[in-house]
Amino acid sequence: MNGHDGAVRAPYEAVKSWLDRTPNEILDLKTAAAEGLFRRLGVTFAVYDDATAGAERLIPFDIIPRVLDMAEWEQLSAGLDQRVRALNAFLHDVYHEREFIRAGKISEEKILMNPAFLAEMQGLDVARGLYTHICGVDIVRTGASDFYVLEDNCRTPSGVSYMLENRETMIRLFPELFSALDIAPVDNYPIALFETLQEAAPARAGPNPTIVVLTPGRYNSAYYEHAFLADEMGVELVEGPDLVVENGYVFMRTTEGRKRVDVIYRRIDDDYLDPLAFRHDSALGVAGIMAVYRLGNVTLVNAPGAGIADDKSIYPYTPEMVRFFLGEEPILSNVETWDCSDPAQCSHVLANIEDMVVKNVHGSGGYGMLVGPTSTKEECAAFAKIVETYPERYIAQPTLALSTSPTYVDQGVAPRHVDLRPFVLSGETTRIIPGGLTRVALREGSLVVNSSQGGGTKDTWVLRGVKADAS
Amino acid sequence: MLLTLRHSTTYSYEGVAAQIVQILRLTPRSHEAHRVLDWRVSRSDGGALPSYTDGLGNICHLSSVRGPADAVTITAEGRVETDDVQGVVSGAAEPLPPGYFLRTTPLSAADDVIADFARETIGARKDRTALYELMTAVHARISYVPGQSDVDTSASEAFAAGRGVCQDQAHIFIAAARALGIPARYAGGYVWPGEEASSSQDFASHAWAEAFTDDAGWVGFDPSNGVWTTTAHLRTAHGLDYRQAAPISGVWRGAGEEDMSVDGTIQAVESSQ
Amino acid sequence: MLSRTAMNHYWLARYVERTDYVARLLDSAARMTALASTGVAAGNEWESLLVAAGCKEAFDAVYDKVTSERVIEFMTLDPNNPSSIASAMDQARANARVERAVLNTDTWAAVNDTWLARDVVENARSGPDGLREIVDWVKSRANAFRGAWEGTMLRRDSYQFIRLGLAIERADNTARLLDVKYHVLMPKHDPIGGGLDHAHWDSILRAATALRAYQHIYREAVKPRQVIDLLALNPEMPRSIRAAYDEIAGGLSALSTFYGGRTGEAQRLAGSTHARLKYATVEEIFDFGLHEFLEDMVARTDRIGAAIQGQYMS
Repeated sequence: MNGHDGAVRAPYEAVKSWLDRTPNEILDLKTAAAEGLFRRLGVTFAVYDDATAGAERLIPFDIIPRVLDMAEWEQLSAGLDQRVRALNAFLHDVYHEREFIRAGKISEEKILMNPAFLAEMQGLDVARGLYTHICGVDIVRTGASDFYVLEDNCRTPSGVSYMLENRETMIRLFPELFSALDIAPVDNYPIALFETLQEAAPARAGPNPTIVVLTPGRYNSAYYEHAFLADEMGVELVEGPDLVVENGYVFMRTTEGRKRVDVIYRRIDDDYLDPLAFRHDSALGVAGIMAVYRLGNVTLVNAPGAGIADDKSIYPYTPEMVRFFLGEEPILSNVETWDCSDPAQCSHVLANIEDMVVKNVHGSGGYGMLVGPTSTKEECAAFAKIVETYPERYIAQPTLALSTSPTYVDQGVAPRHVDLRPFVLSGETTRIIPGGLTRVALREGSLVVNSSQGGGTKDTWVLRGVKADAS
Repeated sequence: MLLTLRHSTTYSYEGVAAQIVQILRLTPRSHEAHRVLDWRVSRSDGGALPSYTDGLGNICHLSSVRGPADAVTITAEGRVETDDVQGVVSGAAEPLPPGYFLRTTPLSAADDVIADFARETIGARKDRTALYELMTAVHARISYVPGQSDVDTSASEAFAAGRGVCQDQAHIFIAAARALGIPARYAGGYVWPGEEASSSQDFASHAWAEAFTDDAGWVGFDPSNGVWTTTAHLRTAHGLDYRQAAPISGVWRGAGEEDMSVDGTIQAVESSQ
Repeated sequence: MLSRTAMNHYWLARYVERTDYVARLLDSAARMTALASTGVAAGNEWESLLVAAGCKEAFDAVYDKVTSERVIEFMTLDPNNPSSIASAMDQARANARVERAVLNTDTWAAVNDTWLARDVVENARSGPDGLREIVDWVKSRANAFRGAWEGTMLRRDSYQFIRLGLAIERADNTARLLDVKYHVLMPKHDPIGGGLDHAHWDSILRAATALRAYQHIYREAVKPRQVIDLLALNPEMPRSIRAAYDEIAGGLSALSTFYGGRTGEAQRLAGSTHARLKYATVEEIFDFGLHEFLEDMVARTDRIGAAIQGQYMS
């Protein structure tokens, strides 16, 4: 909320004055009311590590919004649009001519040997040449206009339902703020998503393609979101066994017989999508669906194999993708990243390991990761040994001075570190809903915003101004 | 040589199948060694078999049967003229660079024993002659014994056992070549067994391997026969391993058990050119 | 609608109806036991309950002897008994949760609120009037569900699949309830002690919330043939097999209309059973054999359930 000089940043003035006149007792009541709303709506996520499988938990919700003004948002959204266009162009190239490799921008091995590269996608001309139709880009901020991309999520990014429910909850709890302030709406996301999916349909599907959302089922941690989006779009939420491949098409089983499906917004990982193409023990997927995809009779959204664009080992190359495919200078910066497979970069990492975050390129979450500044000398030394042995498996980044946002915690209102995941929809045009999902590290000083490790969420406001008739 | 072939695979179901979905990789493509004169894949119930090319360049058919079905037969038949090119696979559809075929898979991963065997056999050489020696070594080391392994047997399991069928021998060769940094892949198809043996009882799909040599590009090696591929070999599909190149892979839903039987003929006539 | 969605609606309804039925069985058994202490032998009331709930075998697999405490535990909380109130609530909610996108807010909330408050069952059990409290709560939650469904859901296919689930479960339950006591309902039955028989009839009527209805319709002391008339054949009595079949036939006919006039095995079977119930008399049932009649009803209902699944859910 505060700028580097300690003053309240302009977009936060309205929030500041609201907080100043609202006693903590009211904030407590509102926090409890928000929790009740989430629970009643069933906005929960399943956790696997609990004693009882499929137990449900709420992600903590912070009632103080995170605020961006229009100028900040416009800069950010231009950068997002540019970045996702480059990622899609890169994906098309990776699965066709591989000019990016030919031009010497990246080694062939980095692409072809990457598990996220799927030979099954080679040479397939997907509708509109789009691979990541729904992309979640994780953004952090270190200064007034310093936005960094921490990670791209080109596969099946989740969290958009929290963005929508958070806003809905805020409107219910604080209607007076919404009547006084001109906050850009987010509730048109489902319509934008629906249009994006329609535009992704195979040409032969006709003007009214049948769209479905494919979920792994109710034990999936994001099941609520799958159901929510299907409901909001008015399309069927299907599971693998609801779909069947017949005569070169995908059909769903309905009470009135088989119905052809044209676009599948799948929230199942590549590996489980088709037991005939990928993991043959998968019971979640649909046998033969990749063959139908290659026949051009169905569109899978996002495309299988899109993960090659968001892989940690590919991330350092994204600014170059923007230059190479778009001929533009990147608007959003990458966090400086050292690639340990390069000997010179590796020795820099080893020399400075105590100040760095070192990540396993194919790992996710906290596994195989070192946060130098919070580790002991021994831990750093031990990790350095592993990096020396398997340099190609690691990248390293400096620890960033992340921005904070005022958050209501047990001790009252206090600054906590935040990141932002805006959602970029690519179809005939690019659609970016103003805002996104703000995740907040609720523990003091923590940089970990992940919901599985004590992170919460906030509503994100893109503030267009103060309404004229409000006083 | 002109190869004339008919190959039928029948799947029968003890109970009934409610649903069968299969990918058929049964169609050869023309390249320098093969001229496909005519070829047809069909199903006993006359059902449509839409065709597409997979990411590796194989021609595939998608077969789906809506039950109840108690049996279904897939037949591939046609004529292909083959030329003697000493195993060289040239002019084939190659959508992926050789580097892709350095990837390992559970079936074709080399363990230390296979890697040592490969190094001791050909050292750092990557030419066609060296790979021929590697193939000969696999042929000598792994005896052809049917019935001891199955489609899930890995290269290292078969190598430790010292025996297997053509699939196992191919996997071992591939694992050994890749352990030396030489791209290698699994190739499936048919082989004409010679005048004496060409009765339908002896008919079977065959498997071998291809390695990317630094002097001749892709070359086919048949470790089970101890030769490079000849005019008797008819190639229909390739992939990282059996799983990616299997002639038919499928799933079915229903009660009871699935049973498979194969029937067919292959005849050869010397071409007059 | 997805076949699986239809199946989830159908089973959601069956499980809600089952909680209601089990609660009523427990209530009636407890009452019989209480009467036993005032001089009327309770007989094997708790064992009958297990049979009526179709849980006898599952119970015997766990326990060697029937006691009231064990049966209450088994039928209220036991997570391993799929027909216990707690299990049925879990199943109902699980089916509803999958259909969160299709169910309207009120119907979902009715199921979810029940599930969120399910600790009532466990907490009340130890209280002085525990069972009473559980029974009242479970009945009121089932009523809340039916109210939300009836009052707020669009009369589309989803509504009809819930209607069918409720009605199929109810037809099955009532037939089983009567069958457990068929021996005391036989006309040739020689009363051992009027008090005991009266208590049996009374308990059946209570389990079906039919005691008042009986007085209104027959205006005389409880007699077996009237009990059969009321619970098997009377269309005015919501828990009668006949009334359940009015719903089954009605639901299937509505589905057929909704799906453009297509009918199948389910409509045919339901039509013939519905007609049988419409034109049957109590005398005819006794001639056929009461037990045989009730067994036949259970079997027919089962076949219709299977036909519904085959026709709409595969």
